[in-house]
Amino acid sequence: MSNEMDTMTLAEAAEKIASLQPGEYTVEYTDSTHLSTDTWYPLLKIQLNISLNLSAASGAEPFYRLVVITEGMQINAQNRERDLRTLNDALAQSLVGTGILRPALTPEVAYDIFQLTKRRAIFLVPDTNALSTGVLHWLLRALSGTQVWLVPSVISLTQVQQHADRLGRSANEQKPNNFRSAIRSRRLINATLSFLERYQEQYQVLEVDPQLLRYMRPAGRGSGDPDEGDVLEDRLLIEAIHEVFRATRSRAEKRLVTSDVTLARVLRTEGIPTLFMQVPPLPEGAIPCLFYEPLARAFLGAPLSHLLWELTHTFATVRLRDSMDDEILKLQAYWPGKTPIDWSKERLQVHSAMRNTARSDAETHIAAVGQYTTAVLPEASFVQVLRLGGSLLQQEGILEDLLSRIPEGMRPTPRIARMAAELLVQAGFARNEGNLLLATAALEQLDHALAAGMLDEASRLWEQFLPYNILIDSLRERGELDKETFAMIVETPLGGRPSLKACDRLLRVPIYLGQAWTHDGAVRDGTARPQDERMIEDFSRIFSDKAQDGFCRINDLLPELCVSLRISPWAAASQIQRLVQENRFPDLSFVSAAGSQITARDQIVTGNLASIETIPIPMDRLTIGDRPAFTVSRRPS
Amino acid sequence: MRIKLIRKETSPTLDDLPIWEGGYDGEDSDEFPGSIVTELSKDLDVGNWYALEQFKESFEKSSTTNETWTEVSVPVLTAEGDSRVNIQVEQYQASHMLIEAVLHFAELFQNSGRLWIRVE
Repeated sequence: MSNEMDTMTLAEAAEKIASLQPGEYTVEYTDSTHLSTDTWYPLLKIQLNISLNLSAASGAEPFYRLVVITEGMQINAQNRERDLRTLNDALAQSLVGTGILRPALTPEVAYDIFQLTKRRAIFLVPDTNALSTGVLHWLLRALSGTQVWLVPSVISLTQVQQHADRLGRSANEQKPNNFRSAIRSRRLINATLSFLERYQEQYQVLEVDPQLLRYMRPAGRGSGDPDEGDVLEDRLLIEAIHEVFRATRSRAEKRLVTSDVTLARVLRTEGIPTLFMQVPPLPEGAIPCLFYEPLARAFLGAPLSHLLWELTHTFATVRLRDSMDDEILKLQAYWPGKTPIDWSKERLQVHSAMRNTARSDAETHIAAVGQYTTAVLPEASFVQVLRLGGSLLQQEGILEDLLSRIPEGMRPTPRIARMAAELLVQAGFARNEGNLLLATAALEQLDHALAAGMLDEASRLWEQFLPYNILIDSLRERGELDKETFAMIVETPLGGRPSLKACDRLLRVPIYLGQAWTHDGAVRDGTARPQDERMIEDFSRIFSDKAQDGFCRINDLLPELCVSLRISPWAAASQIQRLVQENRFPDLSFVSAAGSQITARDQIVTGNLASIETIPIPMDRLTIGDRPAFTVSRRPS
Repeated sequence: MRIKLIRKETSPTLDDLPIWEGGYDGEDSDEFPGSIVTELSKDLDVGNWYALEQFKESFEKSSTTNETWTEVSVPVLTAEGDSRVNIQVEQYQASHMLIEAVLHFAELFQNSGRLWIRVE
């Protein structure tokens, strides 16, 4: 096996890293400032879960959990506790910076940030700590809906230069005493500069009188230890902040961001609004790779490739070993001749020894090769497929043009659009001419059927799509279906096993088209369209069985009716409404009441392709005329 | 799935403005229908207002895993710029994370009046 390293950006390496097999991995580091080349210290255990329910073609990154395993480390026996604290601090900062951990916030700060999320613009002045600890990375994600202008101080950049100078002199010394300063310096330098590089169009450096910079600690005399903060440097920063706040005549909110307790207290005393955010202690147990952040109203997290990239910039050289202790991947941040462009593009040297993966085995089973995806059964939301069809009906074009015609808030991503295009082609609603997609006559028929609310006709048109055809037949034969059973049924006709997610999506299509419904956790057949006499007979029988004191709730009656007749709730409601208007239930009264919020599991599509929407199908009411009826009662004789 | 938090001394109505509203509206958001809350905890219904403490009590008994996998889209910023990445996750686990995070977040407002929560 060659030891050659390739120079790669994160994007170039991400696909390789995303193809790892499921299992447990160990992340270790080495650093020539304080360790010999063949000495590696463990940082994390990674448990990688890859769902075989989702096809390789979906392109999603695998989920993973990580466990910190630094407890046993010992570099300097006499400073073991301090060393461990330094290591864990650097790890925690990497996890906050990548979006895996949330900073430690007091309720007051969290509330302040919540209020700031409602502002249109804000000035943030980060101190050196905030630039490198990852808290600012998190804050900008939380304020993603707000225009943020960053004003880092030249003092911070001067400190970066000082740390870089010291780090450079300790490279390759392999002295254990370099450990703490090297880890802190590397984290400070790389995190700060990469942050400013990524937000390059969103900041302005806060200058101070160059004469005053002489009061900063000379290079080589600073300890790099935040426990040994420098009063004069902090005072320089505070004075600079006072000046910029005075000079910035703006109604936008301004905040200084710091992780330093003393600085935060002094700033508060001097009337400077401050966001005090610290890196949290590392949680015990397994840490998931993502979490929901209410302030950002989004899931935050990081794929494994991003975490490994961040760790390498913090710890210099990182490797991934599998459960057999084989080195699978090695990443290196420093090499002779690395240029400033390499740094700004965050290139690393990568050595990969990855074997063929389980997911590539799955791909070999894929028989259906489409123009847009190789998935056995393309996965796309049915509504997105119809939207793309609507765009296609307006005018033929290449996929990018079709996408651009869909309003931004409803536009699928390119990945989903490819899946949707493949579905349209395979279902006979579109055809390819080179890169152009063209609508077929079937797509126009589908548009007419949907516009007229003729879902049965729309479903019949979709039966040109083999998997959907098999699905409808299976529903009729079995009465109910789940995704696991459907995946087994279609494997042979499709020439490969589809992902469970794709099966799950397809099982919703007959629901959207009024041919099925969900009940007791399964998708039930709803394709039958009984004669009126049969509907009246079963409705009356079930009412008699279930009525108490002459009353029966629709909620109790409708599900049983649909099971008995194998009709979907949408079709049943429509038929019953017509029968009531024709006075075919002379003994029954449908009792209207004030409406309440509709609670419904299932939805159907409505409208034409250009304006497709979904509406809920309630199980607790029938609309008679234009009023909801929640109960049925026997009329007094 | 959308979740609303309202601060009100009496039962909320449809016209009341929430103090916080959020959820998951990303790509594949139909993987997180509000009805999942009923699957997580049979005592909870989509579309109903619950006093926060009542919701928490019912949610404490909820399931956290169902072996159905889906994807969530997360924002990432790299040297190449802004983008989004889809990460696989168990459907129930992600829904549970979402609701649990909102419940924890709601504690910010608890001293300022009665809180209600609704999942849509």
